[in-house]
Amino acid sequence: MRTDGEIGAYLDSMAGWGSEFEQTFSNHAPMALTALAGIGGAPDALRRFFDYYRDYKHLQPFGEATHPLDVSDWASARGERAREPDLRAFFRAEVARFGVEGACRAYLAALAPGIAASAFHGLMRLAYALMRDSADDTAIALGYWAATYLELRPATGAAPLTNDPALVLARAMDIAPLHDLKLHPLLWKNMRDAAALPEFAPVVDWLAIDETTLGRIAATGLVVFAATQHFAALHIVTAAHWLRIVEPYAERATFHSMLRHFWQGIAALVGELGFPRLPDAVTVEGWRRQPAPDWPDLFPAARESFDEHDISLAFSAHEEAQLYGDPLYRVALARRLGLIAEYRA
Amino acid sequence: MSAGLIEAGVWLLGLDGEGHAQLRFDAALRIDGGMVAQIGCWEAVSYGVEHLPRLGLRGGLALPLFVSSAPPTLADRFGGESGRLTPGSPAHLAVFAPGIVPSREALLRGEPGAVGFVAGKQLATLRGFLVDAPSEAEAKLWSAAARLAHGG
Repeated sequence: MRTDGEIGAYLDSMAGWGSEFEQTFSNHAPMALTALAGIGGAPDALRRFFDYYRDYKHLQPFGEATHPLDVSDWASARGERAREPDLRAFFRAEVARFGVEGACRAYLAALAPGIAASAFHGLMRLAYALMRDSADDTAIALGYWAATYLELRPATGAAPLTNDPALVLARAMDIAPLHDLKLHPLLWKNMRDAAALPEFAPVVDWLAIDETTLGRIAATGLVVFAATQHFAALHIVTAAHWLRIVEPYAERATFHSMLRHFWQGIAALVGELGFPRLPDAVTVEGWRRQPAPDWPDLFPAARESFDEHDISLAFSAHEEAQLYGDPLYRVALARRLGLIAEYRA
Repeated sequence: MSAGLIEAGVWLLGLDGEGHAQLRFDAALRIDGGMVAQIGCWEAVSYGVEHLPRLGLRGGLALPLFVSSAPPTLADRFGGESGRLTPGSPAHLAVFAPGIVPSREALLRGEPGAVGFVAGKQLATLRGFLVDAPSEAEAKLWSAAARLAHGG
């Protein structure tokens, strides 16, 4: 993905803003602007979006590094948001030393179990950095992921129950204490609280991970989103795309760890999702056949939006649709944008 | 109302350069600071802001208004303008209940089933806020709204 010239310079300037803002909500601007460029947004559209986003979210400048980290002690700073400037400086040096791919291969293994970092937004930032082929953005992303690292529950190596991600969600919904949890506005806090339940401990091992898993996750995520139009479900659709981007930069075992812990994080969100019962295949097939605008008509509506998730979804849904060929991507996006009427009974 | 959610069954957001209606369906609009902040399905627009006032008419027809002036507290930011609803534009709009043919006159009279908003503020009557004689662009918009109300 080419983001050079005026757009590239504008995207580079995003490094100066904090990775998160109030209450630790993720600053989506670096990624949303890249996605906006990816769906045809001109420089003026990027500036228009960011001017609104910066003021509405009250973005803050990024902090200064204070205590240098090195190979021997960087991992001790994982999960410490206050150390993000130090971690960014560390990863800048490591990306300079190893290159983008080398740094990813060297460090993703240690970051994979904490993929729930900032509700997968460390992953998101890394995927967008890799799409841009930007060394500095890669270092920033690794630092952000490390600083917000969130390991929910470790895998135990127990035998998996299924290769169907939907079945994992269905079983997680049967964990009674999940139904009593108080929800926070932040996804990562809801994941953290769900995973803290003793009954949730085995979930990480339930899904069999193999070369078909990412495709299954993408398909399940799309159905969950189409059925709920839920904010959290939207993140499954987009994260399946981000995972696909990051995949070539990780060793197989590391990538499998990412998949395992990613789906553990999604299972931790079933309460946030409202414990949805997923539609049967006939219903989903009916949704697939819904008339919906094609991408050239979807993109302008997404480009006008001030909602970063509209833009991110439009870009990722298009990219995923190109790979999987499922028309439900267009239908679900069109519904989110209000371009088609309600299709759910 | 500085922030709120408005829903309608059909949204006529404006007309494009060729006079084609730009539409949204079963959609909601989020207002922030008197302007349109987001348009989309209810789940998208209300997420995280479910506490905001919920206005409009489910199943109703909404369209943008051409406004000559805004309430005093908002006039400096949202003067006479619009005719289009898009993120970043002033939230000048009207919502009509299902079955009612939309008209400026109904709005000006404050008739039941016709609700007008100027810079996101719901007003009992739009007298003083709409120009006396609609422009050609405004007339086309009302015609398009009438066609939509008739199912055309």
